[in-house]
Formats: sequence, structure tokens, C-alpha cells
Amino acid sequence: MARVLSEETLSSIKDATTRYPNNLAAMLPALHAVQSQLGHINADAELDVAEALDVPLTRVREVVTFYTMFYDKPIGKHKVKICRNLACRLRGADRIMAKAKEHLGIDFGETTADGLVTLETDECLASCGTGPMLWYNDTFVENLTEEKLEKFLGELS
Amino acid sequence: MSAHLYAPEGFDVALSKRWFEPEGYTYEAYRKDDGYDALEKVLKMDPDEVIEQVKASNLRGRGGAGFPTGLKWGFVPKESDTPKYVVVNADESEPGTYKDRYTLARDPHSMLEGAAICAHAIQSHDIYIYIRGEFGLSYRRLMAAVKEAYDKGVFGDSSMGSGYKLDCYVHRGAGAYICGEETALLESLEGKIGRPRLKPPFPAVVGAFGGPTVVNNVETMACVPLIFTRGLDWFLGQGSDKNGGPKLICVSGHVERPGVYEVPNGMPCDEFIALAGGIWKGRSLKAVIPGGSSTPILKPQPCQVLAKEGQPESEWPLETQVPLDFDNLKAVGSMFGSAGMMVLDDKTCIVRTLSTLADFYAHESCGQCSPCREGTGWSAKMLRRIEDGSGTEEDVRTLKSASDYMLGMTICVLADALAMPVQSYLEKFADEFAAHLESGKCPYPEYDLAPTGDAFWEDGQ
Repeated sequence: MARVLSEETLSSIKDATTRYPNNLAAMLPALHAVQSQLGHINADAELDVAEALDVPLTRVREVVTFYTMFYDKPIGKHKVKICRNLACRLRGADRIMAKAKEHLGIDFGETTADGLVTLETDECLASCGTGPMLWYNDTFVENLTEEKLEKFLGELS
Repeated sequence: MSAHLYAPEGFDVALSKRWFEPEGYTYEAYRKDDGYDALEKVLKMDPDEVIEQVKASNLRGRGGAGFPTGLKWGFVPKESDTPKYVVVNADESEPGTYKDRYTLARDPHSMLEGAAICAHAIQSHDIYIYIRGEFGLSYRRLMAAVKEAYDKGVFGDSSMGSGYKLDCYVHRGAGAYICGEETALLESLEGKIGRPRLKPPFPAVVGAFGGPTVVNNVETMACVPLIFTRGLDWFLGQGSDKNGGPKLICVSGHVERPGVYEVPNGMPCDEFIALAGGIWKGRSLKAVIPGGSSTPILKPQPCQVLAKEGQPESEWPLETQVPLDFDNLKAVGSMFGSAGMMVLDDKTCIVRTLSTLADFYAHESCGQCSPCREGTGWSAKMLRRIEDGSGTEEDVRTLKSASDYMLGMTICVLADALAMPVQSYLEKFADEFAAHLESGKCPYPEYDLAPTGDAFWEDGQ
């Protein structure tokens, strides 16, 4: 019996294993599925994944901690990542980063007290022609001005 | 169809043709433009002949290295006890590069057809597309395109009715620049952390799941069908010597009209910048990073390599007039890389630029090799000190010597990707490093906040 994973997540993991010659290769899709169920990947979920794929727990743990998109602790309802790399900086991303911190009252790597937003910086997101930009729950918000940023952050609920 | 604003006037655009159509990403739109005709044709050809055609096209890998594509395919052994694989590298993450994201979102079928042709050429039955985890719209469009391709019989038990079995799977990354390196990508595809492998063996011999594997970039695959539908002469005519085909260049930074442009291979750099609207705000050009963050910087200074024999120095072309292709950029000491061009105006701080890149490489080092893990980390720290005015001459010297111990010392080229810019920036802009040390602060202002404002390039969802 799985500790925390839903039937739906387990079946999505099982489905992923059919796309590869071995179970281990289904690790990334499995962890994506776990994170979309739980919002993060906790220790119980890691054990469930290890059992579902029949691989050692360390295999799961090292992957969770290696990739930046996986979180092993609860985070805010919305993930907001602002690109800090060169192309965006050349177009003034420093001002966008400062404004985001000021608006939310938190630093990068932190979550607002109400648990609504986790603010982070990110490396180049392949949106260099429309910088400054941010990444938010799988979508891009591009050509940012301070007004556009404040409006976007203000509308998160 | 609206006029193509991101190509030279009158240029016969192919790679970005459908980007301007409202539903150019669908199977119907692609099929209407002769899409999948090349695959039908190729499935009736001898696989060796397909590889010979790709070799003759002078197509070179568009992911960074510029390796001849046909030659790479030819390295795959004919006989193999293990299954062979085709892997498309859609993990676009080299700073300054954003062309593949648009191909995936606005014309995914061209890349799928190229991958299918590759599969037939090396006699593989399985394609994996490794797409960057952060991509949203591009991922959804790709998934929809793969489904369409199955529904229409491109993939399945009998590709295009030929009896050839061909499957295609999409694999989502999870945030790691290093997974764009082909062997790290294979590790990640196999469900592990993205640590590059020692080579040899090369992926053509031992790649995904132990089988012979071709790994090619999205744009490379998107070029392949053109060789067979438009023909070799057309393809060679769109490029320069030993650099076949049209080229997508993504330009960002201080030009008036950033965007992804489709141009002939070998277009002079200054003409390309003019095509992108020239340097913004009437300012002048300080430097060009021609092919993504890891490529050595170009300065508008006289360049002997580009001069004709016997030409007096006063008439030498500028380094920033170099023809944009793999060979010419290599000749002037830089690289075309992934064609992610970043243009810097005269108000840009070179130290801040390099410091930004060093922070990036330090963050993305997988930590496997000590020259990279320590070298990128300490370089980033020293550059931050120099930029904020607390650096010393010793820092500048150490930065240089550290880069000497990073170049060519590691399993993959991530360390080189920082060491090369460090050396070229130090050599060409030594005065700016000295100015930071002398004044005890950065002499340049904070940058203007100036988004491009061109909604055409926004994903819109």
C-alpha cells in the first residue's frame, strides 16, 4: 500500500514505465506526477516512488535533490521564478527582481507568510528576446515592466 | 500570410515559415506545405543513401558543436544486439538561445519529421524527445503534435504505410542546464542525475540504454526534411562553404528588434545586427557575444584574420563583421555555438556581464570534476568582488590562472564554457577590469528597464 500517493499518481507512474526499456527511466515522469499531486516530494513519497519503480531509495533521493524543479519541502501555492541571467539583465531585470522582493516583502528563496507565493530567481529560460521575464506555474510572463509585474503579483490568489 | 519581418528581404524562409501563421503548428498546416513528403520519400530509399544525402548537404549540428550531421549518423553501427535510438535534444538552455522553444511551439512537425527520417537512416524504431522541464506551451504543443502524428500514421506500426514500425516518446526534464550536454541528457533520460559520461564510447556506439544512439538538436532535425523536399542544391545555396542550409539566429540585448531571425548561413555579423534594427537608442556597439553565453566575445576592432592578403591594417575589417557560420567564427577565435547572440551597447559593464555568466556556470556545474566545481565557484566569487569594487589585482591574476586550469581538464565542456569567456573578456577588455580596481566601484550605471514590447514573441499563455 502506498503511503501518500493516490491511485491516479500510481497509475500514471505505471503508465510511464511502459515508455522506457526499464523502470528506472520512469523516474522523472514519476516525480513530476508526485509533485503535481502533492506540490512537493516528501520522504514518504520518495519511499512510494522507490517501491513503485522497484529501485533503491537513494536513486530517488539523489534525483529529487539534483534537479531544481523538484522540491522536497512544502512551498507556496504559486511558484514565481524571475530570470536573472544576462539577456534579461541587459534589459533591466535587476529592477524587476528588486520590485518583486519589495512587493511581496520577502527575499528570493522565501515564501510569503500566507503561503501564497514562493519567490525564486532562475537561470536563462530561453525567453531572451522578451526579457525581462518570469516563469510561473509552467507559463511565461514576458516583456515585464514594474507595472506589469505588480499587476501580475497583485492578481495571484 | 503576413510578411516575414524576421528574415532578410526576399529570403526564401523555410525553418520559420509557419511561425507567422495562426495555426502553423498543426499537422494540417505542415502537410499543406509538403510536410511529411520527405519522410514518405525517404522510407523508400536505402538508409545508406539517406545518410549520404545528409552528408552531402553540409548540415551541421545546430545545438552548439557544429558537428556534421551525416557523419554523426554514419557512426552508428549497422548491426547491433541492442535497440538503436534517436534522441532529440530539446533541452534548450544556453543563455541567449531561444530558437528551439519557438520551433517546438510553432512548428513541431518539422522537427518530428526530421527525427523520423533519422530513425529510418540509422534503422532505429524509437525516438525520444528530451524537452526542457520548464517549457509549458512548447511542451503542450509538442504533445499535441506527437498525438496528431500517431493519429495520421506518421508514427505507429507502419510509418506512412511503409510497414516500418516507429514510436515517439516525450521525456520532460526537471531543471538542470547540464542536461543539455548530450551524455548528461542520456543519463537524465535513463532516470538518473545529469552527470556527463566519459567519452569514448560516444553515444553513436553506446548511448541511451546501452544502445547506439544519435542525439541531435531540434533545429538540426527541423532542417533534415528540407534536404529531401527542396533538394540538395537549394539547401547548399542557403548556406556558406561547409555550412549548409538556412540558420536561425536568436538575438537579444541592445538591438532595436530582438527576435529569432532566419538568415543564410554566413551572413556578416554587422549586417545581421542592422537587420535586427541596429544598436538601440542610437548608441554604439561595445561587443557581441555571438553564439550563446559560452562563446568568446567579439569587439569592433580591426581583425587580421578577416583581412585580404596584403591589405593595410587601416583597411582591415572589424571583428564584428565576421560572417556568421561555424568556420568563420572559429577562425576569429570565437564560436557560433547555439546562435544565441547577445549584443552589448557602450553603456554595458563587461565585468558585470562576465560576473553574471560566472554565477550561472557556478550554479549549473554538476560538481563531478573538481576543476569545474571549484573553478566556476571561485571565479564567480572573485568576479563579484571585482564588480562591487573590492577586488584586487591578485583576483584578476587568479581569475586568469584558474581559467587555464579549467580549459580541457574536465569530462564535459561546462568548465570551458566559463573559461573561454573569462580569457577573451580579460584579453579584450583589460581596461575595464583595471578601472573597477582603481575606482573601487563599478563605473557603469544600473541598466535601463526596457522590455522589447514585441508581443509577437510572447507565448501568450
